[in-house]
Amino acid sequence: MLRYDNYFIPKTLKEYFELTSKVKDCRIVAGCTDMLPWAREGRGGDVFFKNVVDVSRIKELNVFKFGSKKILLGAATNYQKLFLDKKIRKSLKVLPQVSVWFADDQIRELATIGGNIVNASPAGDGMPAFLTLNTKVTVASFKNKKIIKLKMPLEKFVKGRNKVALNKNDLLVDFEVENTDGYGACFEKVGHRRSLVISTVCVSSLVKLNKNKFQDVRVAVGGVCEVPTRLTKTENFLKGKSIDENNIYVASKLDLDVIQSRSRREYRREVLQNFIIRSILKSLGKTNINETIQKFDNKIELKMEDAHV
Amino acid sequence: MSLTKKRGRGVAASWYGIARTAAMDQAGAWAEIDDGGSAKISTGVTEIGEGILTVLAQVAADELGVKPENVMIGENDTSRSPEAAHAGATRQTYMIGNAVALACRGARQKLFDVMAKEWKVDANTIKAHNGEIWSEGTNYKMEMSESIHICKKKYGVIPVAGENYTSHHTGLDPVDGSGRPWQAYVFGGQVAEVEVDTATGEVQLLGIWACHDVGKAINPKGVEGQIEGGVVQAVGQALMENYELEKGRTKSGSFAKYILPTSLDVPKVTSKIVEDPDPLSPLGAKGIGEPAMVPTSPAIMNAIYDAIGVRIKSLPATPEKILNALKEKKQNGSRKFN
Amino acid sequence: MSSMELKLTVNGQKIKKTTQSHYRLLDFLREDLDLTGSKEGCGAGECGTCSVFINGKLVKSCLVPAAKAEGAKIETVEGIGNPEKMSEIQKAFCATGASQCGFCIPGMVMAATSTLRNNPKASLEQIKEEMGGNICRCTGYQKIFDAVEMARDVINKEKSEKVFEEYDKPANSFIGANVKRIDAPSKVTGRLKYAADMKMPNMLHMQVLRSDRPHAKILNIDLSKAKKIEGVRGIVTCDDVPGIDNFGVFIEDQPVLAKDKVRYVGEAIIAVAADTLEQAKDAVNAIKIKYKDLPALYDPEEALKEKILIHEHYKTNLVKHIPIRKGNTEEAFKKADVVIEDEFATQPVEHAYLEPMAGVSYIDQDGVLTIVSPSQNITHHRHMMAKIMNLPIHKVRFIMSPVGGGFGGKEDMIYQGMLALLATKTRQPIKYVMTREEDIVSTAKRHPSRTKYKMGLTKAGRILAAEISMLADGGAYGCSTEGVMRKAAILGAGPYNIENLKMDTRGVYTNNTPSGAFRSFGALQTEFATESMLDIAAEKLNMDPFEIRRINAFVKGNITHTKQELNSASINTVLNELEKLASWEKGSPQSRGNSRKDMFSKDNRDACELGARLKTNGNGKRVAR
Ligand SMILES: Cc1cc2nc3c(=O)[nH]c(=O)nc-3n(C[C@H](O)[C@H](O)[C@H](O)COP(=O)(O)OP(=O)(O)OC[C@H]3O[C@@H](n4cnc5c(N)ncnc54)[C@H](O)[C@@H]3O)c2cc1C
Ligand code: FES
Ligand code: FES
Repeated sequence: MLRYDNYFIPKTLKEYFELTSKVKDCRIVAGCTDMLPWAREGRGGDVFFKNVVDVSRIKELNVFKFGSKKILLGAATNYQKLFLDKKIRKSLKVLPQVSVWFADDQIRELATIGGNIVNASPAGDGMPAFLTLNTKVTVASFKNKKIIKLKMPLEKFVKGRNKVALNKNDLLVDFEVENTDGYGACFEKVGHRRSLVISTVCVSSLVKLNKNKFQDVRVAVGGVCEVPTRLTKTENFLKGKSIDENNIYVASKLDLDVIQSRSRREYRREVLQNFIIRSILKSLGKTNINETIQKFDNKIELKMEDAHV
Repeated sequence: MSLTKKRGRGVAASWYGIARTAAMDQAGAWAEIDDGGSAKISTGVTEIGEGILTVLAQVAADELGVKPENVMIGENDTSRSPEAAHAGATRQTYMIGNAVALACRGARQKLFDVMAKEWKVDANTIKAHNGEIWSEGTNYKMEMSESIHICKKKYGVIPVAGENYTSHHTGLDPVDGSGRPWQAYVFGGQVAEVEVDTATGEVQLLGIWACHDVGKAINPKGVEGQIEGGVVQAVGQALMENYELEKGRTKSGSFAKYILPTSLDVPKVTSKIVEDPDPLSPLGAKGIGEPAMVPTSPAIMNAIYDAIGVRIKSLPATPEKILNALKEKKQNGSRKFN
Repeated sequence: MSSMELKLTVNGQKIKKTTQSHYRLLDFLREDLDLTGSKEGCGAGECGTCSVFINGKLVKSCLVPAAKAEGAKIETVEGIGNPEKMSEIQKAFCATGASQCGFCIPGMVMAATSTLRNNPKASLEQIKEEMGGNICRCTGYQKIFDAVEMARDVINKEKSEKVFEEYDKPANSFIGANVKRIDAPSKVTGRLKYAADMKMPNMLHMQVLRSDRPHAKILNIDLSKAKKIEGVRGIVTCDDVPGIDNFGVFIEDQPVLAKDKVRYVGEAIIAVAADTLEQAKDAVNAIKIKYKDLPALYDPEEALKEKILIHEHYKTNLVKHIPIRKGNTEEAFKKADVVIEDEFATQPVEHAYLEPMAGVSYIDQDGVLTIVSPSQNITHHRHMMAKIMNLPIHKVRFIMSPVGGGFGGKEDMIYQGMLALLATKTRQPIKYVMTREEDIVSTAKRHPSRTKYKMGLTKAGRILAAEISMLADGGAYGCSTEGVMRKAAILGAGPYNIENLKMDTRGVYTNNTPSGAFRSFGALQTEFATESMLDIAAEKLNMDPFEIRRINAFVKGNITHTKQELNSASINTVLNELEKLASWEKGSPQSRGNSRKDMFSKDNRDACELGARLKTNGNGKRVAR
């Protein structure tokens, strides 16, 4: 059971920092979808905080700035917005796809992207997708009564399992992501049931083509290592290469050593490879060159069959 | 991406015993035809979701000639209502249904005897249904509400009765197990159709065809509901649920870790009810609660074998088990029996 | 405890109320406004029994701090309709029989309402996906989907309101009629009160200290700090039991509160009653226990070796062995054309009824100790309670409250004893509601099992003999193990006429969570093995799986495994009907898989790909990729 004496809901960054510099013992929450389930038996148990500060209504954490190159998403943006927003569906295709796999509609109304990243669970679904969008995050801190903002790549921000680059009372403010209109995108996930489930493995892929060649390929994986990560060998191998099943198949093997999880290691390895192949194929499928792809869809699947079955 | 998805079908059969096992089973009930042509039933029953209140209302309505919506069923209170024992063992419809039927017959007889006098007809000609009472072959007919008024006010009779239904079972011989554990048995069978994703090992159950003998089906839709619910509990058992312990400590101590089927994991269920009425009991009904889920898991495992040639012998068939088994099968060359 | 003032609108009514600062919206609705239609099935966002609208958006109210709802417009199931004036969706739920125990149903109605508000033309796939956060343990969802589709069609005027009222009924009888469930209106509107929804004047709240050790001696209990906590009115341990302290469905081996030692993680040791739930929790957290760990048993095979005893006075870990012997299996195997041997295993399974255990106890106007709970066996509980409390049986009264799912899980009397002790001690009503986590660790599971199987058949597929041996883990207490072993033994060889049978089922004690009654009660485990064996045999003998079953199926007059003559046996009819129903393509089960011609019928659902709503352009119609 989570207990606290005061619940504050500041509306601006300034208000937030003034509050937290005055009031001692503040605990930050946003959507509370990690915090409340954590404060229960078998996990955090009965927990008491003197003060809880809800950052989900801070103006700066709710920005949505849309540009042709970069898009700015406030850290309090919830996953349901990523799922429903028409512009996001077009220019950040991978985000609605992660959202479909993320919890359920009701949790998504609350769950923020900031909370998800700060929670830094190895099995969190948001991070692999944001990695493939080359995300830079902004952190705000308060020094000498001044708000200081620092922008850094997402990879730098998340330092380990449940570890992020935040000092006490620092806030994650926004996510700057790349507009990836024109990319094919795919998110694959497997757990113990179809939905509302913790990832055993998840993979996010973005693919851009130039004629019959891969112009850009971005693949990231979650669920298998302490921190979700980009699969750079796979990506680099494919960039500039022609789209054929051999290339994809060879590429799918290059990064399998990222797996750190001790449990279910063999299983994760196999699924990861299958997901790399499948997510690239599916991303291709969304780039309107369906016919060529359909042809080698079958070929590569025969290869997969051969390899795994 | 269709080649990594494999489909298959499997079948399994089952049987089950109705009511308490290898021990006498009994249930009691009181019934009264009440003012306005309604009915009061008191027995040791509480709805646990199986639909027993509706079944009893139907039974009482049918026996007493009132409308089902005019049947009131009292609370289950060990100090206020007749004993009907526990809510389990697929015994509710069989034990309590028959007890209520018998009690209603007793109450009805009192009303019919009075009406026979009133109309000067043989009590055997009297029938009642859906709020009306009449004498067959005559013009006598009236609302139940009116006849109950006559019964009470003119004849001083309250049509009330209590009854008991007993199912005679015997214990098992401690050496060879012989005995008569139940007097009624039900039989069932199900076909499962699955899709296995060989890239992840996920199994999706897409269709179940379920055929069950339930004896006389008192409320067919309720029977279907039990089959559908039983099948889905079995989906959990077959494919995902596992209360894992490590040195006595659970690793699945919340719904985040203990995985239940959601609306996206469940098959379409097509049911067919077979009615082989129980020859020994008044209603001929048997039961469906527990039997519904017995054939599902083996039917699913048999379907998985049909789809990908691996036999999962330890439940649940998790994605990981499926991929491991596929790998093993590949390593051992062709399909093996063991 | 600190409080706050909350101003908001609930179901159209403006509300201003002082509440506890830390309350979740769900607590505020249930405790302060008595809107108990919203239920707490898990408290962790996983089940959807608590779904409500906040400013038009559906959320799980167990994850929303009440303070967050300041100024908001809240809509609960009570605002959607009431039994006298139900919404289309509620009427449709009644019409299709979508509610069983009803505990998930208010949340389901909310999820359905949200789905159709967001997209009045939602397709079945979209409905399933949008309702994917709400779990139902009873219905299998099918009748719920039917209801949402029915309501959708009525809302869109594609069907008339009349569909809500129609039902099939044979002439002149209600037997065989699809009479609508009489309990449905109270369930779809959230009006029905379950045990956790009850409140009484002067009521105290109970909390329980549970063992975190699998097997340990209790050396010392220090209650001094707990007693000093404000609001604490009573603390009970095993020493407070006035009568004979044991209970159990078949063997009475379990104390109300652990005595001298604990036998599993989650076992109750001390119960506390206080004015508020929070105070009771604080008291439990303030209790100190000193244990000495004992060597423990986790594996049923090990248990059979009897090196460690879980219940010393029984001198054995064997709870029950049920043997069945018929004919001579050894001789029969010699005559068999094929003999198949194999092993099967099943896992422990949680009942996961959506209503966590809950109850209220009090001394009634006649001085009778009264316990209200969703117990599945109040008759037996009353007997045991009279003995435990050392009272004449008529001084004990059990009332069975509506059960939010049981499946056998609510047959054990595992918390009613504590309620009785505290009501007797404090003379005040006591209420106890388990959290989901507490319910999972402390209540019985389906018996995990290992079954060894040997089957001998003729070339023609007749089963000549079977030897089946099942070992089941009964966990720390007997619960229903004896009965489960019995049913597993009697039914395990299946509905087949087998002249030579040797069947043994054994259940043993270990230090695992107890195993108990669960829908299908042992038969599920052994029949799973038999039905797998028959498929293996059919493959070997190149026979159709229906055929091999029919060849062996019981017919009227056959003698069962327990030597009872069957007065009827419908298994052949069932198999014939099933074969037709499923349009089964004959053939032996040799991984025919994708080559079969009888698959892909419309009686399958579509494989779930997720993203049904990403594939549409908003009007519910699918678009090409
Ligand atoms: C039923 C259920 C299903 C779920 N399914 C998924 C899933 O499929 N995939 C997945 O990845 N996750 C899932 N989650 C986890 C959770 O919903 C997400 O991690 C969510 O995004 C967390 O966001 P929040 O705003 O609710 O976090 P909160 O609980 O409010 O906060 C989480 C942590 O982040 C900190 N924090 C929040 N915002 C900020 C900020 N702006 N600056 C600094 N610190 C901050 C808080 O102090 C806290 O420590 C699920 C949770 C539940 C209950
Ligand atoms: S989701 Fe709120 S109680 Fe389960
Ligand atoms: S009716 Fe859904 S949980 Fe019981």
